[in-house]
Amino acid sequence: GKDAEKLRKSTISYKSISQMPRENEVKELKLYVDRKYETVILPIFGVPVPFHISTIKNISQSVEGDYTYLRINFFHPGATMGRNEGGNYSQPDATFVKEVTYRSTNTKEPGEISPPSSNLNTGFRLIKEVQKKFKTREAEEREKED
Amino acid sequence: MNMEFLEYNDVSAEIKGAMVPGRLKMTDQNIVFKNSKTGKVEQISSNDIEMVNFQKFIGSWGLRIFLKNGTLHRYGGFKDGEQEKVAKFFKTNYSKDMLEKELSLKGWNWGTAKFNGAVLSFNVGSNTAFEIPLHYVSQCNTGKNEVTLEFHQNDDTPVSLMEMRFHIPTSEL
Repeated sequence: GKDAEKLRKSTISYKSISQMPRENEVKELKLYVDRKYETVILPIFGVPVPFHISTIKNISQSVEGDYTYLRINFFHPGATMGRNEGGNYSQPDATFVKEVTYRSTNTKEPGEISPPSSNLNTGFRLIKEVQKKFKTREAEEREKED
Repeated sequence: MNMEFLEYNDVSAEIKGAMVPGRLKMTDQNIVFKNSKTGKVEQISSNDIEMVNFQKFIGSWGLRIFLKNGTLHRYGGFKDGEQEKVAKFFKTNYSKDMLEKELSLKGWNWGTAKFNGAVLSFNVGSNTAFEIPLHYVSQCNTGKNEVTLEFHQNDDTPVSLMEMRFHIPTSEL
């Protein structure tokens, strides 16, 4: 119905910077998951860059030696689609960010409460959480439509 | 108003993804940034500047200086009240308009990748989502409809971007 259509159109993270969370993680160029706006904010060379949760396909995390790695895979044309995802790209001829990988050290510096990698751990957990909520809501809306 | 120079003691410069604290001094001749950790000094001659922009961040704004040789210099941590003063400085001394380079906050992972000098910018609509100075790239690989960039690692950032992979449409290949 009408509501679902409205929602699908609103997959925009922020209309202006005033909507962005004024959190230290964002200012300090760490990962931040904004549950309210269902957006993951990723630091890319000095700039906090929002990615709406609907653009994220899956994520994976690994610990190797002194480092933790977080990989985020995004939806893009040619990617294997889940059910009902049917490849509805508004701009299939665009360039897509397909994947990003972050690295963070597991070693605590003197005076640090937690190692830098705790930011990636929290990010991993919260992305999963927001993604689950988003998918559940989308499925419910599709059901209403049918 | 005397506008011979401007000095900021608590700003930062973007170096391999880290905002490095330091002191920025701008005179009618040049812009000098002194890294307060390493003491390293970086100097930009006013004649080498192609473009000056500002970018809004949360609780602060940043200065984006693009040089005629294609390199990008970015400084952050400026307070809102300073913007007019800095704009006036560039206008008076360098005859440059400090216009806003608006960042895309749409949250989309699709757009256009454009090369400008030694910088790759990923644009969503008319705004830039992010920029990659190409000297941060350690390796570049191409595959079918795909480009992978690997970056020099920086242990000064809490989280360091290692790799970014792009899907390139067939029409661009």
